[in-house]
Amino acid sequence: MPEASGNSSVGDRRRDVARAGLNLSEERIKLLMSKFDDVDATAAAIRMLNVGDHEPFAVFAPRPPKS
Amino acid sequence: MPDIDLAFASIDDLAPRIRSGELSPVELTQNTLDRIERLEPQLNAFLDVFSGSALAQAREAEAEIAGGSYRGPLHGITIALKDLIDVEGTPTTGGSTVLKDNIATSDATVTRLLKSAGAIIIGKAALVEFAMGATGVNPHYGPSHNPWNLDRICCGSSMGSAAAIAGGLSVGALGSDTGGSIRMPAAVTGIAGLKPTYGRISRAGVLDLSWSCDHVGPMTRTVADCAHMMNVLAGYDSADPASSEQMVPDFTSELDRGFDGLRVGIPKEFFFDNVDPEIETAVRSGIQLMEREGASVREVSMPWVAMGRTINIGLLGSEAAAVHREVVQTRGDELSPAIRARLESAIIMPAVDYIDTQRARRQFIEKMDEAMSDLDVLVTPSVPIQTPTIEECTPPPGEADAPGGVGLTEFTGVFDTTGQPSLSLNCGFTQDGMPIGMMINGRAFDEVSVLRAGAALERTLGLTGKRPPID
Repeated sequence: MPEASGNSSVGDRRRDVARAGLNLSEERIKLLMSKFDDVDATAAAIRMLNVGDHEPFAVFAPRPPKS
Repeated sequence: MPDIDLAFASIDDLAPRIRSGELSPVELTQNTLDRIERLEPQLNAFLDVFSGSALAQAREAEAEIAGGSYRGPLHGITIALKDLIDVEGTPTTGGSTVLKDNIATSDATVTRLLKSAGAIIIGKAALVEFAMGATGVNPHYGPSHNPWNLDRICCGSSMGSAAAIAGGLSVGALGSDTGGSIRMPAAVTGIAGLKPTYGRISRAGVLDLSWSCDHVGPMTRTVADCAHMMNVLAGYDSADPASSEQMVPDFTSELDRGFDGLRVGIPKEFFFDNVDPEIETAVRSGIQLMEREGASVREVSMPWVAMGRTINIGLLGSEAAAVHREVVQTRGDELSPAIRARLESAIIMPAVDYIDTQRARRQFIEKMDEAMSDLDVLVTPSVPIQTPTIEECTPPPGEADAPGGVGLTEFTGVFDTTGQPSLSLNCGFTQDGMPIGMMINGRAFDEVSVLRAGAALERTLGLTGKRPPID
C-alpha cells in the first residue's frame, strides 16, 4: 500500500477528500493513492496552459460555424 | 414475405416497405423479439426487453399505417434505448444496482419524440455503470459480447446499444457520449454512431454523468439511418438547460451529394502518432478513396490537439464526482470497484483547476474552430487500438483496474471537449475480422456535412452488407 502520493500523505489526501464532502476510511484512501496522482497530473497539465482571458461559462453554448 | 433480411435491414430498406404495407411493424417487431430471445444469451445486449408494450406499439403502428396515417421513416421501426434514458413506468438503472428501483415517472424527451414518430421501443440496452467507462464491462450485469467475436468487448459505455444493432437485435438505438461512449462501441462493432453537436439533442430525462460533456445520439447500421433518427430527435427543448436554439436542418438533405468539393482535413499530429498499424492503414485507405472520389484533402497542423482528451478527463471526472457524491458516500460499497475509485479520487480536483479546465476548453474550441475554418470535416481513426478481449478488460476480483483497453478514449474525448459533431463508421476490418472505425468530425452544428461525408464513404466502401458470424 502506498503511504504517499505526489507530495501528499494519506492524511493529506483524507483531508482533501473530506474538504470536498466525502468521508472515506484511511484504508480506502490508501487504496486510492495512485488514482489521486492521476487527478493531480490532469490538474498539473491544465496549469501548464496559458488560458489567457478565456472565460469558463461559454462552454455551454457551442457556436455555429462562421459562414 | 419481404424480400430483405429483417434482422440486418436498414431504416432505408424497411421504411418504404412499411409505408406501402408490404411489411407489417408487427412482423418486424416479432422477428426482432424472436431474435433477442435466441441471441441475447450470447450477446447480453439488453437489461430489459419490452416484449408486451413493443408488440402493442407495433399493432398500433400497423393500424395507423393501414388507415393512411404514416408518420415518417421511424414509424414501425424498432429502437433500443440505453438504460439511462427514461421510459415512463420502467426502471432506469444506469447500469447500477443502486438504481434498480428507480422507476421513471415520465418519458425522456427523446423517448417521447421517438414514440411520436411511431418508433417501437424494444427495450433498454446495457451500459457501463453510470455510463462511466470505455471497455463495456459491467460487474453487476455482465459485459456485452461483440457480435463479430464473442470473446471481445463492445467498448463502452453504450455497449448494449452497439451489440443490439450489430447483432441484428434492433434496427436503431440511442446511446450517450461523454468521452466517446457512442463512437467507440460503434467503431468496434462495425456500425454508425453519431455524437451530435452539444445541445442539439435534449438530455432531459437522461441520467447525468457530466453536464457539460454529455451528448445523446443515434446508433444505427448505416449513416443514412443516423440522419433519419436525427430528423426526429434534434431540436430545442426547454427542459434541457443546455439545449440549443440553432435552426434544425433536414439531416438527410446531403446524403447523396458525394465527395465532390468536400474539404477534408487530416491532422498531422496525435491521431496517427500511436495508432495500431492495421487501423491506420484502413483509415488512410478510406481517406484516399475520398480524395479519388472528388474530396479536397489536406493535412492540418494542430500540435495542441492532444490536450483535448486531458481537458475532457478533467471536466468529466469533476462533474461526475459532483453528480454522484451522495451515492458514493452512502452506498459506495454497492458500486463496481472501478467506478467507485474513479468517483472517489476525482473529488479532490480543486475548484480553481476545474474552472481553469473549462477556460482551457474554450481556448481549445477556438483553436479547433480556426483549424477547421476552411474545412468541412476532419478525419481521424475512432480508436487507437485493436479490440481487446473481455478477459483483458475484466479487473481481477476486488480490484479496480484491468490491463486491457488503455487508450481507447484518446481520440473520441477530444470532440466531447469541443462539442463538435462526430461520427464513427466502419471503414474496414482487421486481419482477424474485427471492424475498424473511422471518425468524421464536423464544425459545430454542421452534422449535415458529417453525414454527407460518412454516407458517401459508406457507399464507396460497400461494407454494410457484411454480417457478423453469430447466426
